[in-house]
Amino acid sequence: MVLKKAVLLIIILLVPMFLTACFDAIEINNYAYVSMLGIDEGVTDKMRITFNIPKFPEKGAPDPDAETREMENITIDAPSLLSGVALINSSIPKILNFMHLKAIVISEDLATSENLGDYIAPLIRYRQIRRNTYVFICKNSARELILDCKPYLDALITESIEELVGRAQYTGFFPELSLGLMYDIIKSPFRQLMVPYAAVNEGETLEDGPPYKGEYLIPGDFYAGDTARKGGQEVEILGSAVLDGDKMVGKLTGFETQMVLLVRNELKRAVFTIEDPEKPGLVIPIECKEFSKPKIKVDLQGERPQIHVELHIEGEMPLIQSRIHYEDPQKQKIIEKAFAEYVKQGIEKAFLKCKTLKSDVFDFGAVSVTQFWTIQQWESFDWIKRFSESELKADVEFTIRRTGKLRKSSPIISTEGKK
Amino acid sequence: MIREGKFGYHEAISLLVITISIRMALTSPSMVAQLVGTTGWYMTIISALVAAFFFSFTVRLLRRFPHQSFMEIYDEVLGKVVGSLFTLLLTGYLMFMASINLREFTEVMKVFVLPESPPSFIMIVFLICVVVLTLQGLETMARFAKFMVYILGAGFVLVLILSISNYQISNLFPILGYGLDTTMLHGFLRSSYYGEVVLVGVMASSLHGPKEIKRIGNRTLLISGITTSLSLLAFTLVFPYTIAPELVSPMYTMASQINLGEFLQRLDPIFVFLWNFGSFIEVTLLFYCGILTYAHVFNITDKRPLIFPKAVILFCLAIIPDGLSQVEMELVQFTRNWGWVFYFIPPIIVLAVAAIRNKKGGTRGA
Repeated sequence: MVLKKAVLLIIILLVPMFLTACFDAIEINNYAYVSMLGIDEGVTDKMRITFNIPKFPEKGAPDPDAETREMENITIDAPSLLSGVALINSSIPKILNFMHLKAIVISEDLATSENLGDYIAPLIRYRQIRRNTYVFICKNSARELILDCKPYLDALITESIEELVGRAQYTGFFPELSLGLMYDIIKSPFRQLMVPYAAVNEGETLEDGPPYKGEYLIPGDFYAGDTARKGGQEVEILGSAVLDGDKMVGKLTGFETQMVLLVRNELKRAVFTIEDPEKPGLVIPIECKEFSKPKIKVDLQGERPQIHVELHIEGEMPLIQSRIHYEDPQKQKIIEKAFAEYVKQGIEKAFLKCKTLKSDVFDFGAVSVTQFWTIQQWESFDWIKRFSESELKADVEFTIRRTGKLRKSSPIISTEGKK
Repeated sequence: MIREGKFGYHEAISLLVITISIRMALTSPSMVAQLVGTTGWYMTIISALVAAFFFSFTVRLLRRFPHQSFMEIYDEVLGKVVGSLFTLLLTGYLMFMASINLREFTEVMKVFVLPESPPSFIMIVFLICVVVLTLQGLETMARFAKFMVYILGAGFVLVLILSISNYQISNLFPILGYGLDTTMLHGFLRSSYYGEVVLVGVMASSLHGPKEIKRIGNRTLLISGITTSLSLLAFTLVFPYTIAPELVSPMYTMASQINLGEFLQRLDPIFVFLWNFGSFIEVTLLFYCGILTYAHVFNITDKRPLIFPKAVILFCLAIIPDGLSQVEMELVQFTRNWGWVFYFIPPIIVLAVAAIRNKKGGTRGA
């Protein structure tokens, strides 16, 4: 009985020791959560790393706007990310944490220097960085881009990045790429990498002057930073950087990227604009929402791989500047033919560029690999090398399903008559 | 006294299916991808078929000696000394397996979930749970497994379905991987993956006769074959053969990649839940069977005093490997390649000896 009481007493005395919580616990506000990471070529060390850290509300009632108001940007030269983090952790009273990292921005200089595989790919090992983190390559310095990346219309910075990247599905002007996918593709024997291309657009390209009298321009057929606009986000994503392995070898414009995504069946909807076939100088926008899965065949029997792409697109014609009666089924065929030719030429143009860059961003290798029985046979064929020898034939069919809210356009009447 | 108790068909299948299939959550799939490339999903079916072939001998042995466990059969056929050696071989291997699985679980846990915690802390907490469940006996363990199997199954299916958007059919090609011969060879060797099915022989006295044991074994192989093949198929569809061998826990990585819209992401906790409970049941069963066989050799009727010392031994064994690399590249590989020798060969030898010496069991309990 005495023993039992003694044991009970000891237990009671020991219990409070377990109520002190963890002696090495780290609270959530001990961390500084990095939302964007910029990587440039270093000057005093191998890498120049920029951390974008949004400020979170202080204790008390949650303040939804707090993150939008202030952000901390820290830049450091270091031999690796972890050593950079260790150095920063010694100079700020918080611990850098990457669990909420949304995007990694890599400068074009670094991407073209063949160091991407050495500096960026190893980030995949780091536990805190998720494979879903977006990756961009940017014109000029990644640090500048991060400094100019601001939350849009009171949204959180993380939300702004997510929504900006999400626009890829609606325009196709740039691909959506995660760190995990990037890592998988640079080591893939049947596809090569296309990374969204970003730049800072401060509105300098929007010039004042006389009205435009030039010829028809393909919308989006330029690179990030070149859009003639003022206002909105200074950071712009348009087009894509093309890589051969881990080295950036060239760029695709927004339009060329759309063509690649069309062939890869990654385009969900897009607006294209063609020149009016019967009234050059005016345009007809075509809104495409239905893309059938492209039929791709690769013939490897001959000396050069022969690629055949068959596409069927359906769309709407929501606007006709010329007021020509293209709603008429016979006339519609003219537009259908013109648009099919437009897409065909676009695909061929993008293909030729990629062929010159020796980079199969179309993923034709994913079709070719199905013709091989074993990995040894496939790897000895060496698709990545053979792609630049390949030839493409594209067949595009286009069907107009709807013509907007009008079934015909009547002429405009003025003192000069009808036009 | 621990009550071994009696339990039925569903409980036994749940226990064995979880014990076998949960290894898909750890480093196994990467090693499979390294060995056979894109063919892991059908290589494992070959392994299951080979295991079913080997298991048929176990069934014959248990039919010849109905209502007797392996340990009793070994003693009867080979005599107490040699029989005990055979049983001790199984004891040793079960403890070895339990320690490797415990360490593998700890290391993967440390990489993904608890990087700051020392391995010994993770292992001790885990072992406390193992000891508690072991004290409850085999029947409780089996009923717990039956309760968990539906939750684990639902989580598993959820992860596979939500990963559909990351599937790339082209990752399955070249369809023969590094060649059919390589796939067949590793398919045969990796029948060890399904080796735990023979534990029905250790638990035989808790089951309802050889007919049911046969049904339990075959269904276990069928279900775990399907789940393993589906896991490997999903994993092959997500990761190209060049990347798959690099990943520490491909299934965890697959779950963490789920990103549907802006709202359905960061689903790794579902996977951590599956993986923790599954590993817990797996290690407990191996540990328990290790105690059961050991107690039989030394005629120890009350197994409770053995549990704590054995748990300490298990902890010591698990702490020996240097780190994850040694565990996954050497020890796990050894158990996958040679486990069949420890699991399937002794019953075949005993069956052969019993046939030669014309030994047959009685009809106890029939």
